[in-house]
Amino acid sequence: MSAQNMAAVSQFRILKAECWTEIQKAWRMPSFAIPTIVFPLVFYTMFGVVLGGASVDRATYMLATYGIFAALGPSLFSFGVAIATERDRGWLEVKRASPMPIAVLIIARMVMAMIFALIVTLMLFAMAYFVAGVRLAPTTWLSLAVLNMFTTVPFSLLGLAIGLRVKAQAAAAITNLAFFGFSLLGGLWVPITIMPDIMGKIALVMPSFHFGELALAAIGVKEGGLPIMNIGAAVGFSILFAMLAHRAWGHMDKDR
Amino acid sequence: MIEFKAASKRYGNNLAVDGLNLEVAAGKLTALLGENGAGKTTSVSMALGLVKPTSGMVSVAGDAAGSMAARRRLGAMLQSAELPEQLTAAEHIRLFQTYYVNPVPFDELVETIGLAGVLNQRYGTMSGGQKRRVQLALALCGNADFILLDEPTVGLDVDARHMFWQVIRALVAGGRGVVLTTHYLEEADALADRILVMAQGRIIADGSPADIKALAGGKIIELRTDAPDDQLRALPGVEGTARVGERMRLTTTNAEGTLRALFANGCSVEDISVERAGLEAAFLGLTDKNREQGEAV
Repeated sequence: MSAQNMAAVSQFRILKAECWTEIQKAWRMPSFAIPTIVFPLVFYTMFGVVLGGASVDRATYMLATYGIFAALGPSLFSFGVAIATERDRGWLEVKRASPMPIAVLIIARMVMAMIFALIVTLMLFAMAYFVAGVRLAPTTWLSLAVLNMFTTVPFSLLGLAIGLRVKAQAAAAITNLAFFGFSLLGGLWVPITIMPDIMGKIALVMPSFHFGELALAAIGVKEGGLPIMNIGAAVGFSILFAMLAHRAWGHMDKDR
Repeated sequence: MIEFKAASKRYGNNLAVDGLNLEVAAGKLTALLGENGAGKTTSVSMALGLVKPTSGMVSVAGDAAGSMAARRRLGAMLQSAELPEQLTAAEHIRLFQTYYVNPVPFDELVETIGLAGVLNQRYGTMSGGQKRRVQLALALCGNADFILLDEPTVGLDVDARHMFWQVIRALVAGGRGVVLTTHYLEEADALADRILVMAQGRIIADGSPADIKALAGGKIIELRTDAPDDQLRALPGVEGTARVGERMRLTTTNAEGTLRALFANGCSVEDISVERAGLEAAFLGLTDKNREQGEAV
């Protein structure tokens, strides 16, 4: 085996070990697990299934937007709050000094956020199917699950940008603000269409809104074919967040 | 070999490390001794690649510090790094072992560092001493050629400190190159093959523990005098001067010679006391001297 092969093999092992470690860390931290798992489930059950008279249409509609809500939590919190905390505590330094490619750490966290989003999505699906009686085509279930998982990527990058820039306490405040702001103003909790007109305009600048619209398109609520505008906005925000994260990374190096 | 070539690091107006030239050899323990802010941690951070030198260069076995090849040869215990609290000692160690090609066998490491009793305890619930042991385990687990320990024994009780010393001696005996920063002279004396005293980013003394102790074998003279500072510093044997209230404090390697010359100068001299310097005082003397020279420039 050449030296290069050895390096490649061990890096895959590192990635596996880091992914598993991130999942364990997240699972054992109530301040992470509760907002990411409990909030989407409880809110969906209350607002989508139980309150306001049971309606399959409503439960279906909300399944789409609460799925996006479920993707926001693990990505924003695992990066925004956890990275800032580990940076404050000097742990990120230990990792950077160690012979592990730091990109692996970022990828492992993204995988963890995806897995958490998938778990919560499956819980939402079970609630929708068994309790609310939502029926969708198999491909629709699948596309919702895939969309939710990939929605974690841009929001992880945004969380990373926050976590690298500010101290842990400020990061917690900003992340919570982003989490709840994106959810409410992006129409993930309550449809924008039943809110005042001004909210519709605000929603346009919320990345969460466009991902929510994609989910609604996936279940066939939106008419008029491919939602080109929303796809464009989702891609645009993803690129923006990637750039912010990249700049925050450079800023961290220059700081030293 | 870890090599610093004229490595400097500037933060704004503050020159944290000033043209450091140093070669750290395998099988030796090099101690960096100095007060807080002397540049010890910045030097270690440059070797680890965490801090990029403003000028000069730092390499590990020929590879630039911070490169993957360099990092594979290093294990480190940083001064103020806390591990994630939710993981157990065993989980932390096993994760870190995946980073290295040839890690120390897990059981051997646990035995060496005395972690058997807390392996399944979460880091967040450990005592300070146990946490330091886990941090040491992460530094050693990779079987790296060079181990950098930044004030590893701060806050440890005497037993734990001696256990750390024993582990460190075994590392050096096994051919590792160890860099240890400390502000305990006793620690540097007990472990080091070579002691570098740092102040204000520069090396102000470099020698074996015996050399450094010889410097420290001098005396401290305190007296009241009207002689100006530069005249005092020019006296035979004087290593440093400092004002202590109304009196001047001279650190000297030759108390009798210093006093004889002082009287011969015809200055007024009152209220003399002479004491053995000891390591701490010699060290203070060295850094005082350096500081005054630095300011005069």
